[in-house]
Amino acid sequence: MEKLSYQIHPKIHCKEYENNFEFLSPEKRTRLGVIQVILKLIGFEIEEECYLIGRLEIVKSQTYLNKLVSQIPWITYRKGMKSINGYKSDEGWGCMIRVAQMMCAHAFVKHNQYRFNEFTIQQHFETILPLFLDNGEDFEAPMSIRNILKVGKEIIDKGPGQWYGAHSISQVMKEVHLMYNTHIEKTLGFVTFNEGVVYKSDLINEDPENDRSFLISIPLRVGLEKVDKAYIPQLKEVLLYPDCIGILGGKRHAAMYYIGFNRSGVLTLDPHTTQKCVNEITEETLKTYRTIKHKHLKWHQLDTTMAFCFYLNNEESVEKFIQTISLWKELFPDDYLIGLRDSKAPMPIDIEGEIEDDFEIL
Amino acid sequence: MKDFKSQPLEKRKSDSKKVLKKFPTKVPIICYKDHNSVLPSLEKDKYLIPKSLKVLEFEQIIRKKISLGEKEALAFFVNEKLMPKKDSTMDEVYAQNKDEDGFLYIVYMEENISG
Repeated sequence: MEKLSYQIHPKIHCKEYENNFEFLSPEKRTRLGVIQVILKLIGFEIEEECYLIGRLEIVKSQTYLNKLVSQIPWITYRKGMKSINGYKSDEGWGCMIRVAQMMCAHAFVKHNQYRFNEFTIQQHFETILPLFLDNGEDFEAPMSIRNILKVGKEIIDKGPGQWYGAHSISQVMKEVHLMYNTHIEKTLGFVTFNEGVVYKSDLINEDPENDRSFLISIPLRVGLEKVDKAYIPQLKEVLLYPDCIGILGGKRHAAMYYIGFNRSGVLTLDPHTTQKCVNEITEETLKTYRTIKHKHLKWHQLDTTMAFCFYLNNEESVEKFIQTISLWKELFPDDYLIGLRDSKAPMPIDIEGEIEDDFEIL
Repeated sequence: MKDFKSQPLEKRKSDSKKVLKKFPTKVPIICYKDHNSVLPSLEKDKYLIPKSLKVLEFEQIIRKKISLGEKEALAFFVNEKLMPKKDSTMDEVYAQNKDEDGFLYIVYMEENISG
């Protein structure tokens, strides 16, 4: 069968689909619910093996899936690096760092595509990947593992050999981007919403003359031992949101980058392959940053710590993102994961209380 | 927390009743860190919290109390489930999740890490 994929209208944004799909019961008015209705109308059934990837691509064919996967930068463990505190490889400890690098590289490629759309994906990779070269220091390779480890040590006291989680790596990447990736930072701000609450005031462009894009990370815990089943529909909505660039996640102790899902679990890029370190991006070395290999993780295997990541290219996409967060609050009234506030409010009460009857009274 | 639950149920019940009566605008909670967590412990584990306080605000208070910076991850659980949405009031959380002894048990912990 040569029909490779169905591509549904990529711009079904919340307002439009709310208006057009009022006949659906509210819980079906999720993006996934709407997709299922459209597919039914056109006589297509989502089969077990079909993956759904952001921008609403429903991928049935392995060939097409491979092509999509290869368009996302793949960053792995490396060996033969210039020594970092005695470490010449990050095998066995760097996987969350690699996953976060993949996410950032993916965002930068999208940012480049948005700003310079005349180039091919290969050319975008050639521009972006040098920022991630392992042996580059400071401004030579702003997003290098060396810079990440240096900043990690400074701000949260995690050095080479230590493990990261989705939350801690988001803080470090944000800082590295701000300190060293100054060229891209001019047009792309990195924001983390650490309490699972999106503050609108953090997404305001202070210079209306120029577009400002945003890379957003929302680190969350979605269960104690296992991902609480109640949250899976929300994870699917996040992964289907056109501006979602994936989720930093993994299975217990092994970080992976979620880029899509199907009925039984998520589609991931896996950093757990050790490749030789390279010092420049050439046609040959670029191949070590692209793959068609992807892994499947079942819903129950997912680690409970994760970070939802988004790339918003302009004011309009920020607006849509905010609308979508409030839509999710309506669609999942009892257990929405992401809160929304105008800005950080001062604490309404004292944090120290009187002690009475052995209770501290706040 | 184990110490607390080792007290007889009847005693705990009468304790919670007593404070609920004495402080009608507050809810009694027991808050402590998960036994596997490496985060700092709270000095006290018994609190009376304003009913109108939002989950987000409660979380921020505990963060301050254990002097945890904003860059560190902190997650809260009630009854082995994630703490309800951030805009809920503590009164709602209490009503839906309190123990049979009349206290609400809240556990906190850090993020999982991977290598």
